[in-house]
Formats: sequence, C-alpha cells, structure tokens
Amino acid sequence: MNRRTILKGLSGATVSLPWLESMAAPKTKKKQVPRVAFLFMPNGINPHHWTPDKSGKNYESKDILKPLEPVRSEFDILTNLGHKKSRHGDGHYAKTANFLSGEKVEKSTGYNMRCGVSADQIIANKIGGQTPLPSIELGIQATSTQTGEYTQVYGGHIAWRQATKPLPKEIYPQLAFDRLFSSGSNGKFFNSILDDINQDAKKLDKYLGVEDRQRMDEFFTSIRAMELRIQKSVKANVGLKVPVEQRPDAGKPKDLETHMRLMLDIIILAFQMRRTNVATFMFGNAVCGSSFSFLDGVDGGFHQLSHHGNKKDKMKMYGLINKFHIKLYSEMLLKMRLIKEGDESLLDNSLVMFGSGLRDGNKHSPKDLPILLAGKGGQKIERGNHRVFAEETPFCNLLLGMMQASGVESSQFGDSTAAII
Amino acid sequence: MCGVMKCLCVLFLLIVSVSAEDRFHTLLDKFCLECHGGRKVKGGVDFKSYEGVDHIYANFKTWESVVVQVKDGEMPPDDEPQMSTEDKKFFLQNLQGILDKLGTEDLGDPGPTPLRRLTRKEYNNTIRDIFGKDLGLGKEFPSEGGGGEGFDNNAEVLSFSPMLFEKYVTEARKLGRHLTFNYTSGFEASIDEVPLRNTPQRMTFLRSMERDFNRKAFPDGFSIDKSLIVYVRATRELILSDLKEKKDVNRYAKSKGLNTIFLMRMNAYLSTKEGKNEVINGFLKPWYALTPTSTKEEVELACQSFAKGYAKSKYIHKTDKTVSPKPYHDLVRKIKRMFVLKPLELAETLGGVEGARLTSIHNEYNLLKKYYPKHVRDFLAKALVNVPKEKQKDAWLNPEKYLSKKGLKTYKGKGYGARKLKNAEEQKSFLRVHLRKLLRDAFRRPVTSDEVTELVNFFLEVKAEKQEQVAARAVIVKVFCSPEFIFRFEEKQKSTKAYKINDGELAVRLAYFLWSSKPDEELLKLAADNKLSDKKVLDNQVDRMLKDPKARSLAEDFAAQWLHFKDVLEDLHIDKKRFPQFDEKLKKDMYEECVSTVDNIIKNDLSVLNILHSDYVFVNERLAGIYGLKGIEGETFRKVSINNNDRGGLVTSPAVMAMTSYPLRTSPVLRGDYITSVLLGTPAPPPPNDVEELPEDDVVADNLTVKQRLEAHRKDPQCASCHSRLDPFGFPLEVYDPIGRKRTEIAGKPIDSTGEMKDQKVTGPAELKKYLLGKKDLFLTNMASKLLGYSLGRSLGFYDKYTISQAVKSCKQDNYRFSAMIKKIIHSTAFQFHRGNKK
Repeated sequence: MNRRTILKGLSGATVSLPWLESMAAPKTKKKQVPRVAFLFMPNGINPHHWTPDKSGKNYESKDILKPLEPVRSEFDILTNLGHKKSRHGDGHYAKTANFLSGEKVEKSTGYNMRCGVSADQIIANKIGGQTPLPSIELGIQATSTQTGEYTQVYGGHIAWRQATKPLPKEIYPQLAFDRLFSSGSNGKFFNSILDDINQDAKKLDKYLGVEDRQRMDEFFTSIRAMELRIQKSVKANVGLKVPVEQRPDAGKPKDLETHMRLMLDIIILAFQMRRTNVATFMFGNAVCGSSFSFLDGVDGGFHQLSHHGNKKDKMKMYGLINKFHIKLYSEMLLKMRLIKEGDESLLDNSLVMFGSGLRDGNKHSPKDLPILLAGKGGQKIERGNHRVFAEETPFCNLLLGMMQASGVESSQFGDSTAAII
Repeated sequence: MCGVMKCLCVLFLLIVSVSAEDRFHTLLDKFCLECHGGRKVKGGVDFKSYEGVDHIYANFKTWESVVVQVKDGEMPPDDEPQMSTEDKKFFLQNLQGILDKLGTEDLGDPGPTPLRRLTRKEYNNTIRDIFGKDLGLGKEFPSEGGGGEGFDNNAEVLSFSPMLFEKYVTEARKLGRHLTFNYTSGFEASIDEVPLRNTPQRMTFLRSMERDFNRKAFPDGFSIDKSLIVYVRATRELILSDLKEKKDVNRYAKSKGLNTIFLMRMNAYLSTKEGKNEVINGFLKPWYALTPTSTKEEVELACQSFAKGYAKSKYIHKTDKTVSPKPYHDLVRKIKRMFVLKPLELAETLGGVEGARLTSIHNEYNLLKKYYPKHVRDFLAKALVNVPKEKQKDAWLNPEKYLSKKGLKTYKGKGYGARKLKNAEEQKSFLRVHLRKLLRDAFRRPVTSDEVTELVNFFLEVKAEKQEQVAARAVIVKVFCSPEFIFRFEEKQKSTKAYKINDGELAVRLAYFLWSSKPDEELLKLAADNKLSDKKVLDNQVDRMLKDPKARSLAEDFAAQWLHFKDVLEDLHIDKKRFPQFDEKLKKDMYEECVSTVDNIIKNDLSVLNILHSDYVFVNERLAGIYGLKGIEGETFRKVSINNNDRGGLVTSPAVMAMTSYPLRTSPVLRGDYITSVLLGTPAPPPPNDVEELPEDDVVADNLTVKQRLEAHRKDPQCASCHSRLDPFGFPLEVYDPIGRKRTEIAGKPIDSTGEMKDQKVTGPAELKKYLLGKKDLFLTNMASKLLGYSLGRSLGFYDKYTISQAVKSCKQDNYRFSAMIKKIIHSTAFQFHRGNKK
C-alpha cells in the first residue's frame, strides 16, 4: 500500500502530501524540543458518538472518531478532563478564550477583558526563541464585532500572550505561508527605522496614562519581537528553499474544507521546516454558525445543529460535522507520520492536541471535554489508548504535561494536580 | 446659616435614604438572593456583593433589566414567593429613582479614555486623505474583534501583537510603493504600485495611464489571475471551432463575455513556441501536445498547467532570489501586457458613446495629455518640444518611439519633476516644508522644528547612499510605523480633575467620529486658531461634516455595525439551492439599500425614525424585484416613494429579513430578537442550556407551523419568560420570506402574522412598525447609547447616562433630527473632556 492510497481511502479524494521530506530542516545532533500544536473546534460534540465504551488499547471507536482508525496507534483519547473555571459564565465565550489557560474568563465587553495566559504562549516563551517565529496562530474566521455581555474577542482567540492580551490569528493561507518565510529584513536602513521608532517613542511620555503605558508596552514588545526575528531569520534563512509550488492563492478559499486543510498544511510545513515550534489553530470561532450543508446528510449551521434538542436527525448531523473535523485531524496526523526525520516521523517528534471547550453543545457542558492527543513529542510514549481519568480531572493536567514535555520547568498550571502526557 | 441648613438637609436625606436603602436591601435578600447570589448565580446575575447605590451604578445595565423584569412580573418567577403589591411598588420606585438620577444629573465625569488605535478602516481612510487616493490598504490586518457597544473601534479590545506590527511594516512598505517623490508636489500617489528598478520610470507612468484607461473599461476590476485560465480555455475552443476572422472571434468573445482583443492576443501567443524560453515552453508542454481528439481532462490539465506556471512565475519574479527570475519575468511581463488595452483598442472595446468619446479624446491629443500625471506631462512637454508639429500627436500617444535611451537616462537622472532643484539648500527647504506637512497629517498634531529636521536628515542620509526614491520610501515606513500614526494620542495633563482637551485633539476626535478619518484643512485651521471648541463654530462644522461624502462612514461603520447589516456581506448563510436569487450581487444590493437609507437620513438631516418606518425605499432593478416594485431598471440605486405601509424603513428591508433567517426558513425568534435587542436595546437573557430547537425547515414533519411550534414552546414556563417577549415581534414579519419577498403562505399553510405583545395585538408589518414608533423612546435611547459608545470607542458606564438622556431629549425636541442627537453627544463632557489622573 503506498501512501497515496492510504490518503485516498481516508477522505475519498486524493490528498497529495503537502511538502517533500527533502525540505525538512537539517538534522542537528542536539536533542530538539518537540513541536506542539493545539487545535480547537467550536461548539462541542455529539456525546453519544465520541467516548468509546471500553478503556485501554482495545476500545472500539464510535462514529465520530472512526476516521482516526488509520492512525490509531498514534493518539490517545483522554476522557474526563475539564476546566473548573469554565463552569460559570456564558455558554461559549467563557469556555473558549480560556481553552488553553483554564482561567476564568472575565465577563466584559472590553474594559477589564481578561483570561489567563495560554499554555501555548508559555511554551513559546520557553522555546520560541529557537525558531524564526516563536509561535503561529491560525484560524479561518475573522472575529466579529457584535458584542453582547462578552466581547467576541473572547470567542475568536485561544492564544493569550498575557492575561489581557490575545494574539490575533491569521486567516488567509497565503499570508500565513508568506509569514513563515519572510525574513522581514531590509538591511541596515530598515533596522535603523526600527531604532528610530523606538527612540521616538520615548517622547510619548507626556501622552500616556497608566493604562496607555501598558498598551505601548505591547507595541514596543512587538517591535523588539520583529528585530529579534530579523536577526534570527538572517541565520535561519541561509540556504532556505521556499517551497513556492505550494504557495496558496491569495484571499480566502471559497470552501471551508480547503481552507481548513490549507491552514493545517501550513502548520505541518512550519513544523517540518522548523519555522516555528508552536502553533494554535481554530477550526472556527466560538458559536461558529458556518453552514456545513456541503457534507452529505447535513443541512444547517454548526452552532444551530449543536442545539440538537436531543432530536435524532439533528444529533446525527451534529456528529457528522464533528466527524468532518476529525477527518481533517486524521489527515494531518497521517501526513505528519509520513514525513521522516531520521528514524522517526515528524509526528513522533510533535504533540498535536485536538479538542473543544464544550462537551455537548446542547448543554454547553464544560465537563469531560472531548480531547485527543497525538504524537510523542520526541519521547518514548505509547499511544493508542483510551485513557479514562477520574471524574473532573483538570484539563490543565494535560496542558501542564505538554508544557513540561516542551521543556517548561514548572510543576503547576491553572488548577492542575499532576501532569498528563 | 445657609451652610447649616444645607447640612441639616443632607442629614435628613441621609436618614431617609438609609432606611429606604435598608428596606430595599431586605427585599433583595428575601426575594432575589436565593437564585442570584449565595449559592446560585442564575443567568449570570449576582446580587451577593450588593452594597447600595454604588453597586447599582456600576452594574446599571443589570439593574435596568431588573426594573423591566420585576415590573412585568417575570421576576421573581411565578413558582417563587412574590413581593406584596406595596413592597413591589416601593422596590421599583426606589430602584427607578436611583437609576433616573443618572439620566437627570450631570456627574461631570467624562469616563475613561482608553488609548485608541486606528481601525483598519480608519487606517486606510487616513492615508487616503493624506495622499488623495484610496489605495485599499489595511485589508490584511487581523479583524478588530469588537467590544463596548459592539463596534470595531472599541479601544479596550484593540490590542497589539508582533504579527500586527509586522503587518504595519508590510503595509507601510506597500504604501511606499504606491508613492513617488518629486520636488514639485512632494509625494504623489498612484493606484498601482510603482516599481523602483528594472522599469524606466517613464514607461511606468505611461502604463499607469493605460491602466487608468483600462479601469474605465473594466469598472468591476479585471484580474489576470482569475481570468487567465478563462482565456486559455476560450482559446482552445477558438482553435477547435477554427475561428480566425476577427468578426467571428468577436462574436464568439461577446457570447462568452470576453474581450476580443485579449482573446486574439492569447490565441497568437499560444499558437507558437517561437520566441519563448524553455521555462515557459515547459509550462506549455501539455498545451502543445493537445490534439483535436484530446479528452476534456487533458485540455483542462493543459490549461491549468499554463495558469499555474503564470502564478508561480509571478511569485518567483517578485520574491525568490535563489533561481534566475528572468525567464519567469518574461512570462509575467508578456501576460500582463497582453491584458492591457491601448487607448484606441479601449475605445473599440467600450463602443457606443463612451468609445466615441475616447476616440475623440485620442484624436485630440491635447486632451489626452490630461490623462498623464502632471510630472509626466511636464516632462513630455519638454522632451517632445523638438518633434515636428505634424508628428506631435503621434509623439504624445507613443512617446517611447521619439525618446532615445539616452534621453531616458537624462530623465531618470533628473528626478521626476520638471522643476529642477539643483541647489542642495533649495532641495532641503523644499523637504522641510513638505515633510512638515506629511508629519502633521500623519500624526494629526502640529510638529516641532526639531522633528522636521530629524526627518529631513534621515531622508538625506538614506539618499546619500541609495536612490532618492528609496529615501522617500524609507521616510514613509518610518512615519507610518510610528506609534503616533498608529495610535491616537492625547496630551495628558497632571490634573486630578476632569479637564477639557485642546482644540487640535477635539478636531481629531470629531473627524474620526464623523468621517472615520483625519481632520481636513478647515478643521485644522480652526483648531490652530483655537476656535473649534466655540459652540457655534463647532455646530457649523458638524453640519458641514455631515454633508461631506466622507460622512458615509457613519452609515458604513456606525450603522452597519449597530444594525448588523454589515453581516449581510460577510456572514450570511441563506441556502442557495432553495433561494438561487440570493447571489453576491443581491447581497451587495441588500447592503447598499441599508447604507443609502442611513446615509440619506444623515446627509439630509431627516428624522432618525425613518430607520423604523419611511414612505420610500432605496432600490435598483434587482432589489425592486424582491420588493415587487415594477418599472425600475438598471443597477443604479434610487429613492422610490411607496404607498404601502408594509414596506419602508429598515425593519422590513430584505437585508434585515435575510439576516434574521436560518438557511432554509425564517425565524420569528431571531426577528423578534433583532427588534428587541438591536433596535430597541432591550435584549432578552441568553437561552438556558439544554433547549430544544425548531426544525431546520418551514416544512415541519409533525405538521405544525413554526408559529404553532413556538406557541407550544412558550407553554413551558422556563421558555415563556423570554419567548413571550421575543416571538410576538417576529410573527408580524412572517409575511416575508428568508430573502425578504412577500409571501402569502408557508409550506401550503396560510400565514398567521399576529403577535400578541404585552400591551396589544399586532398583525402584519404595518401595524408592527406603528407599534415600534410608539416605542420610540426605547429606540432613541438605544440609538443614542450606540452612537455615544461608537464616538468614544469604549464601553459605556453609569456616568454616560446623562449624555444619553440629553441626546434623546434634544433629538425629540428637534423633529427627531439626526444632527440634534449627534450634536448633543459632541458637546458632552465625555466627548470633550479628559478624566484626569486619579492618583
């Protein structure tokens, strides 16, 4: 069986491998940190078709997880994880912004907007310096401006650099691709411009109130980040071959599936070529209402169908939408497994988490979240298990485990009680 | 004496209010706390930390809804202990009294002023108004999100990130590529990017002129990337059907909506391998291999191979330095030229009156000169001065034939302008004047001599090492990546009390509020003379600004977000199989109707109640079809009077009907929610967890209509409290389908368009609108809140209640005119003051 047939069998259509192995980053002898991706799906899952009945290795997959059969040995199903602090607040926003932090999402239309620092950013702080980009944040939907009791900024961001500062995500595939490779450098003059802007800023003092200072800190941190990036890119871009053949078209792909797949491919490419070690991806923003009628047997929008009212037909459609997301996740894992890094695969050297901030969208329940973890992060770990934890085990335990596996020296994160990896 | 009296009074009031306060607190504890505080926090409402008036002020939105719910008997719920009539009366009076005070007393607190960053829109508009051309920048910035009253300009959530800074740099560079610098008029913008190297500038300008012409031929834009493959495919068909005569090709092209000249050029290009390099012939290999018997797939692959080759070339040509870009460059250049029309070809393409006009322009070369940018015109006038008279026309049309390469060099060496500033001092003083203006415009404040000197020196330093244009572009990056351009700073005084902002800052606040852009010269002049804050002057300026075309931003940025019709363009999922009419064009029309309606109200200073109901609509032919109006032709929008009260106003507009529908059916709940929360500002709490939703379709399996379903749903007391508020507003609109057309039945059943409000029964859209007009206080208060939130770019607080009530009052007194409301906001403490530093 060649790899093309594997992929064909999986999605029904031929999926070509995004990028060739020869493009992988040069292998160094030093033990490298893993690459870590967090994938977020909005609106929860159909709970009847997710959790297998049996635990351990010999579980039988329920319908939603069936597309993962070809990579069964590469991932674990983690049952009974949840965020305590997601239990209050509204149904979606208060369970999205804190997906990777486990902190309380402050009810706010902007003023006092706050949730915790997300795990991906703690990891990026630790290992981001090793790559041209500390982390990448991708998604497919722009954040809406409508505001109820919560600003929708909460619903559109899972990566939070600081408790009050979300990182915007890139939604255009071409721009995301270009950002991976652009060095941003324009030589001496450009650097001097950055210097000057930095210098000029000192004159701003008379304009700044206390809160303004914080905002300006963000600004100057961003300039420094760019300077750093230029320095690093100069080195990292020596002999760099940009896979121009794969550069996506400009604009937003017309159909959802292409868009999602392209973004996931960009994460693979970024990992493969070591442009970054940390990535987050949102399959949709909180309360995403995109129509999934393009799927056979589905008629309606994701959020609308997540309120299935326990009606059979709706639950079925809801599950099919979940399954579609899992199919893309599975494709991603397959592609990563096929990319060799010496004796191991890219997947072996990565950790790729998939999950949602809700369980049953109909109930907005934040307990026993649907969480999957694939890849070994370069360690010797057995995957392929359905791991059932004690009820109400903190999801932060897993986030802590992933942080530790990435070299973050900490023994506590959010409400964690132990580390899971 | 007086002081003592006052003291006693205060003491007396204190005693009274303390006891009232105690009674209120006791009632709250007894009837509310079980569900809202202590153990449970239902609906996210928590009174546990209640400590008196301050809590009410700080959470006034919650408390306002308490009044409504207690008054309507929704709280406490029926199955819980109820307050006695007397207690209830006291509870409401006490609470209302405290809340009313906010609306009648000016607290003198302007509220916070978070640091504002330009939104994507403001960014592009500001640059547009500095350089005089809309370059469409900032589109690739991440979306703002939105907060406060629901607007993208909410400063509290406009954060900053490394990626954003990178984008500012990229965009500033792009801006630089749109600009050229000369010593006559400083920076000049062109819609197309102006390459710095490789292409002689003269050719660039000629081409930019050609492109200007082409833009006339393709008003909707022409994208090579999108059309290339279409032309390649068409060429194949041309070959197969053996069409060679121009008139045949012409007929074929017309039938396909293609341009004959482009098609013929493509045909010629693809017919031979000659004159092409190996790379290009590589892309074309599958094409040459085609035979008359080739399969469809083979043809498609061949077409795509070429189109992909072009896309690849374009990228390499621009960015990749690891391969030799020349062969790719050739392809890009050839294709680009292929899709540009010369003036006469253009005239032929356009045909008709426009074509004739262009031909005559062409023949009258003096007129043609108008289409050259001024500096090119000046240059050509000099360069072509020795060309004999009879050849002048040809020389102006095809100057490259008459200019030697040597002449070109001289031109390059002398810079762009006709005016020669040989003297370095002369150049420097020109730079001083020009860069001072640039800085002032970009930073929106007066600049100091030192700042100008610094920037001039920077320019000269770069120029000493690189080309002049590089220096100019470096200046652009420096200025437009500066925090002073990106953010809107205001000077902070060391006062602990609120203080008035200066006139320059007022001009900036005003311009971004009404125009989403920088102040113009007139505002700057008034600000510099410290006249702007004079009430009369300010009022005149507001009147002037609202009539300016730039005030359309109030319709496109403010109203489109407040009334959500922005969603029509971006986020609407109507099923296209069921409603094939619902295409991109119709979406744009729906949006345009809303914009025109609001813009018309603003420009002509009409009553804002026209949003709820009017005796006219704005339509073009397509939208008239939705409305069922006859005799309206063409794409242009126009105001059409109607004498049908079921229509008119945004409430019954196709845009609103569409965005309050599901893909396959209308939703009385969404429509009701739109009216109650978006228009009237009285949102229902979010639905509880675990609710059952209605089916996808109008056609329901168990034979109940959606209305009957909802009625059953409302029998459940848990659902009733909200749905009895929402649904009745939606039912009268059931006569309109998901794209806003009138219908007489739903899935074969007659429509019941009656909604039972708390106070009356309403049947059909006309009665609904009449009912809404009766609720105009709610509508006006909501609109004023939204407008104030938008103007301040922050969440509103209790300290804003006074401004809102004043704006509503003033609007009512002045025939509900828009300007009355907006002026009150502009004259408010919040708009003109700064809070001062607390510590």
